[in-house]
Amino acid sequence: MSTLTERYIAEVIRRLPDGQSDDISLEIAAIIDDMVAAELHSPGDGTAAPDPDSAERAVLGRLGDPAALARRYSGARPYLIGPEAYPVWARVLRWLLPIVGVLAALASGIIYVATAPQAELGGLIGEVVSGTLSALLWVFAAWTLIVTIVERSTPVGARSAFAKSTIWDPSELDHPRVRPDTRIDAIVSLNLLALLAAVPFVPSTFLYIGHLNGGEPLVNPDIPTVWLAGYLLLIGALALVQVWRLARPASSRWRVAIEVVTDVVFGAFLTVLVLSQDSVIHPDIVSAGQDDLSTAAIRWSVIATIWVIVIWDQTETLRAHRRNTATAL
Amino acid sequence: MSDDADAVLGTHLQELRRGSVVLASLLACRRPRYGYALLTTLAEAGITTEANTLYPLLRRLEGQGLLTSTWRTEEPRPRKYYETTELGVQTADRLHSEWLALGAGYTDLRKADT
Repeated sequence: MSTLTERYIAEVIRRLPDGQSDDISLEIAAIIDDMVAAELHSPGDGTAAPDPDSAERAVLGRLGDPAALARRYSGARPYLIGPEAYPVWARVLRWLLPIVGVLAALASGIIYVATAPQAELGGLIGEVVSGTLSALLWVFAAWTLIVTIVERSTPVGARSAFAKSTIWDPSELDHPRVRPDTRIDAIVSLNLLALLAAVPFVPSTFLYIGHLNGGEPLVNPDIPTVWLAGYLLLIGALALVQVWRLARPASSRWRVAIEVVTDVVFGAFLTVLVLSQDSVIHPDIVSAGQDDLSTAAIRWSVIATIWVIVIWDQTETLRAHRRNTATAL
Repeated sequence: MSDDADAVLGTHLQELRRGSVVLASLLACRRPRYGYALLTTLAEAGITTEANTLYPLLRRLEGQGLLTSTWRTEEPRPRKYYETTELGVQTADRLHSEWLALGAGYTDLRKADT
């Protein structure tokens, strides 16, 4: 056996499990011998008989890349996630990533607020983003690794543990699929409501304007407590509707009606609050010396913004209801 | 035929032949054959396959209990002979019946509407 053939075989064998290597090594050596002998006897391209070195190179060229030959012998799959396991891998990720993302964001935020000497918006955003991203990457990598290991340890031809049953039952169509964006929308809404609920309690230092009012809350402390209680109560009602959407995503007329009414009541409540109070924002934050005209302009701009949001929210709610109703048919 | 059409045809031919090498190997190894002899036997029968595809396939068929192998060292160079097992013969019979049925089906389809 020539040095070239020995090197070729060594390149194949070093990529195979120890248990197979000796037998495959002998087999490849025998195959190359036979192929070289045949090449010397009648060259494949019909030219004159080549010398042994050229014949050997031609044969090794036909056998091809030793890494590819080793893959064929070992049955190694040239992919990370195969077609059998892919649907399960993707479905688990679709569920796992949003849940882990929300939990990681909450945990990062709570830990930051609890441990930072003085919580600030930039610091909170940084902690939440970095904590969430690292959690998502870890979960993605861990789940992918589990699927890859299970798939690699399944013998070629055997049924993968992650393979879905090929038998599909038409009864799956009996219950209309709920659009996944209903749940996503509910989660986003709950997060926004949590932020709104926190506004009266957030100190001005959080937005780097603590020097204006000595680190007191952003809202006017002179607003009667009954307004604050009403504000939190309405946010609680809106949150309950979103929890309802999360638990039972299938759209219903009753729920849409309740959602619309609660939203409009909340908009009306905020409008009355802005109109009835001298200033909703902490008076020290509002720059001193503003005339009545600019105060009125700010007030009506806030009211206009409230109703733009309320109307847009109702439009989106009704459009989503129509989409879900159409899907359910 | 354009290059694109050739590439498409090549893909479909590969798909069509993919399972035929297994059946051909099981049929050819009803009497013991060593690797290179099997390669030339298949080529003579019009079933062309590459050496780097055939030999790993023989080992896989052996692992599935359809072939058995023995080393013979009495010849000038040691060779590994493969032989179809009883299970391999039964599998080949089933595959061959399926092949004939497919052939008949294609023929009927070609004859239809002409």
